[in-house]
Amino acid sequence: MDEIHLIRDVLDNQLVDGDRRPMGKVDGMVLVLRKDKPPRLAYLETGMTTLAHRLSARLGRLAERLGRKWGVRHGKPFRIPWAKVRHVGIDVEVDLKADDTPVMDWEKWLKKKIVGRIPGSG
Amino acid sequence: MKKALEITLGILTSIGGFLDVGAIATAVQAGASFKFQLLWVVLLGTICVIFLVEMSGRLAAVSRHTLVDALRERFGFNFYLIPFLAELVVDGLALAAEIGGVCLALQLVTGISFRWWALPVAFVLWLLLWKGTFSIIEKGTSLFGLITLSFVVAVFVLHPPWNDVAAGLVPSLPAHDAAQYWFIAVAILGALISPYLFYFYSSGAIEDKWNKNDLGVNRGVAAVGMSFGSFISLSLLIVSALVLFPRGIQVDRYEQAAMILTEPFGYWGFILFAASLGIACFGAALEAGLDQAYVVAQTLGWNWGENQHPKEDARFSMTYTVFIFVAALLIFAGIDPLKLTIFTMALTAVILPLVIFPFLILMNDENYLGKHRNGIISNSVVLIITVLAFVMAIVAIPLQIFGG
Amino acid sequence: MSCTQSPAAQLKTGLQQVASWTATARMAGEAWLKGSVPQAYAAQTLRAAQETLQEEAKALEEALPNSAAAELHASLLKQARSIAGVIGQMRAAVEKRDRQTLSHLLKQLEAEQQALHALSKRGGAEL
Repeated sequence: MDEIHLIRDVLDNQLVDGDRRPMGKVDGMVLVLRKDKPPRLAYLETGMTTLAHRLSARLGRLAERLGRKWGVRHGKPFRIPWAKVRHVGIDVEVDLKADDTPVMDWEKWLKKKIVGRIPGSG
Repeated sequence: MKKALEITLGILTSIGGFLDVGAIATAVQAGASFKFQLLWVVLLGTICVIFLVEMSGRLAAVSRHTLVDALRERFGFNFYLIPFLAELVVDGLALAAEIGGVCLALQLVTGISFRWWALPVAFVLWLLLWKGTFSIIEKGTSLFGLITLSFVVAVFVLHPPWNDVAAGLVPSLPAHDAAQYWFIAVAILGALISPYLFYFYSSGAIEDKWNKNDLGVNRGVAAVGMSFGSFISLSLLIVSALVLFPRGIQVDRYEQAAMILTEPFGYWGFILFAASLGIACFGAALEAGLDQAYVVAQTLGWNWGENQHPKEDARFSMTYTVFIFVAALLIFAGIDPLKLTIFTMALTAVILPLVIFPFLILMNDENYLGKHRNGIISNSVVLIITVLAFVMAIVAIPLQIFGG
Repeated sequence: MSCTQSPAAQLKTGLQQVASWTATARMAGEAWLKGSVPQAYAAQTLRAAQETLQEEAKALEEALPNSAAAELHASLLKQARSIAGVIGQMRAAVEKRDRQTLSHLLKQLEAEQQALHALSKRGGAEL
């Protein structure tokens, strides 16, 4: 089996869905600790909250609070199970449809409420 | 045949797009205050930017990443945040300065204060980005930008002493006002080595779907395009030296620069200067505005693309919309456009290492460029000039602020 | 951009500034007479020159007590005020499209410029 360098090839790389549509970046990776067994890479995480946590715990908590107030998915980052990862190359391809996931929530909201209402937006 | 056409278009783009408010303001000030003495700095800045632009294109073509994508991936978000914020701040100020340039040009022609033009200009910029495609913007900017060739024509009409011009192309120490000399030198470098130029170039390469086959085109466009473009900057400096320096006119406001083409061309010279200023800055504003949106969208992994309709990349479109109007507000508020320009150029020179060092590391990374990694020349030239610019900046800026 | 310059440097900068804006006003006036620049631009540039010279005069006045060369300094101050006055009249002439008066004022300005040049030469030697 080929090797995957997690930090180099996964973290901070572009996430794309099954149709190669951008889904954000891999902002974090979640390992699950198991009793008597080595930790397992369980999820990829994406979202502003995750990013904020990487900078500092305080910013992370602030991001969570703001997310709960205004966020479209209540400040919780979006997790993608590792099992859904189809290919790791230039981008990290996952077996999902971007529109079915929360990553496009802001995009959809902006499209509906603002951009779509401005003439000439296509 | 198609390659030749592509190269020609690319070169035209670079020529037309080379001049922006920073290049104009610094060239005019340099010529007025130091005659031909600072020509070598324009040359130095041009050489550096040729390498940077070529590198940026090569990175995009080979790794299929934009500079922003590659930087975040390679260095991780935490470290990348620093060049990211530096780039956003400098880009934002540059955008405001470009808008200021357009507004000033309109003031020259109409007599109506530049402040009143800020929001209308922002609206037109926004409209073009909203409705236009990358290709139209690229080609439109370059085509209309060719009006700046009037500076080159002016040089030949004015018959400069070519020996003196040649002497200016060689580095020299100032005979007077050393603090001001080095400060303008710093501003020139900051103006020519603007990060938004090579950030934007990599996004453009991806928009144009470049790959390894386009490396030759890339080299051609970077070298020839930027060289020709720099002729315009050099010409502007020479014209300023021939018209303003003998009269002892130093340029503290754009109004003082507006008359430089009236000596060779009379009334049309006045119009040509205003048109050159306005058009060059307008094109640069489009680029700077787009670039800010590219940088944010690529950092956060959003879908982006000027060729898409705004509805298809709502976050991207809203980003440039917000940035353009915020920048316009700075001008509407009455911030002096020339002072803002010079300040931004000086600041750029200071943050240059923050933006360029990671870029250089990336260009030597096998994972991104394979066998197309930087050679020793690219590395040395960029490194030396960047360090030079930074050292000059931290020495010259305090000296200028706190008096000779 | 020179908050804490030495008095000698301040005087030198002052000389440069006055010379620069005087020359600007002269170039703008001449250009308007030749029809090379529009009226609005000429008037605005002359106003800018006048205002800058008045500000410069004010700064010179405040710095006079600590001057590096009191006589030179006082002369410059007087000239700056005088030139500002001429430029003000030039602006009025442009706004009224009075070419004859402007021509006349330009000659006056030229004379002031020569005096300024002589002052600069003294300044170069003394400072």
